[in-house]
Amino acid sequence: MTLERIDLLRVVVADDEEDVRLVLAMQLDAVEGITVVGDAADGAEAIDLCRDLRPDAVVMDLLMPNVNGFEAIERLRSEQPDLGIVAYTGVAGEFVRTEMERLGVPLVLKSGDASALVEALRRVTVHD
Amino acid sequence: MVAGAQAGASGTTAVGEAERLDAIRRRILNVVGHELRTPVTTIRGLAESLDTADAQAIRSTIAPALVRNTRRLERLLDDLLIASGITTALPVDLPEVVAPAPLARETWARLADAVGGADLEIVSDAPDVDAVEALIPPASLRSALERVFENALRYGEPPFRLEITRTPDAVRLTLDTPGAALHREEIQLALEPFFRGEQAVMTHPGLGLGLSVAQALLDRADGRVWVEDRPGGGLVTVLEVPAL
Repeated sequence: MTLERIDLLRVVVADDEEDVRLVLAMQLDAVEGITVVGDAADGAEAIDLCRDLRPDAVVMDLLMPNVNGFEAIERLRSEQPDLGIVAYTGVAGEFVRTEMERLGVPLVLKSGDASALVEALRRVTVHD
Repeated sequence: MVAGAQAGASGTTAVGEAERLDAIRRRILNVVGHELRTPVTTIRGLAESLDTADAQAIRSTIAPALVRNTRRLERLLDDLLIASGITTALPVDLPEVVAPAPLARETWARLADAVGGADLEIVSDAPDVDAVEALIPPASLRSALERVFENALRYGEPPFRLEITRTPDAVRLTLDTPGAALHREEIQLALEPFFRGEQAVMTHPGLGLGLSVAQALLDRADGRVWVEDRPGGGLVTVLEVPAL
């Protein structure tokens, strides 16, 4: 088994809060080796963007209008099995934890410090 | 023995009630935590970017976002206090003659602009809707309208329609908001603090305080708020305020 690390992570961020998208883009673009290539305001936009841009990873909020993050994750998982997905949420109750565990998606609590998110992005984009 | 059995049943009831209250406490803390987390983490992220951001980005992007998120925290604080029956957060202005139609028009335009725009049709059986007057603290009516309109813009679908009518003692503002069909229980609980509809929980963050805050604001001003089921789906929200 060989591990290959992708040098420049191309990331899509999906959150219905404009200011959260703004901060995520600033935080992730400031990290060497990561670039935010697009942002989406709901799950449907996130699916479309991932189809168009084929990013390495998506940071997905869960509570979003139209198509919520739970549904978007399931659809992206089946369409793009190699896409790294990180759930990024302000709510991590039992339902959320169980669902993300079932889907095999790491869960990161929204924080002003992006280090946990960056670490999760690195983890989900390391492929066999 | 009978007394013992009664004491046992009473103890079981008390335990059940304590568990129910604990569940409510946890639910409230959970939604408050979530609503606090987003602006707080956003403010921290923005503040930490100040070191590396250029002056133009600070002026055009970061500073306005900091203001938006601190306003959101202020609003959250007010809503929590008002919905909890703490009167210190209620507006302090006195009743004045207010024309609800222009106030509703201005309030809707401001809120709708922030979410990409949506029209509100204002209708009335009065010859000149702008001449219909109420006697109410303007800040209370404005704040109540804000909560009701935000609710409509967030969960409803156009066309939005506000009907303003006069009764002998009151001015009634009836907002018709088409949208998803709601269960009867959701209609009954819509004014309960921290209650959120089944669909709303999965699609939008929020505290579930908007309508209950509107109710608290108008109660204080001798008005009232109620909701009705809307045939075809959605909600009808009625604000009634004292007439001049």
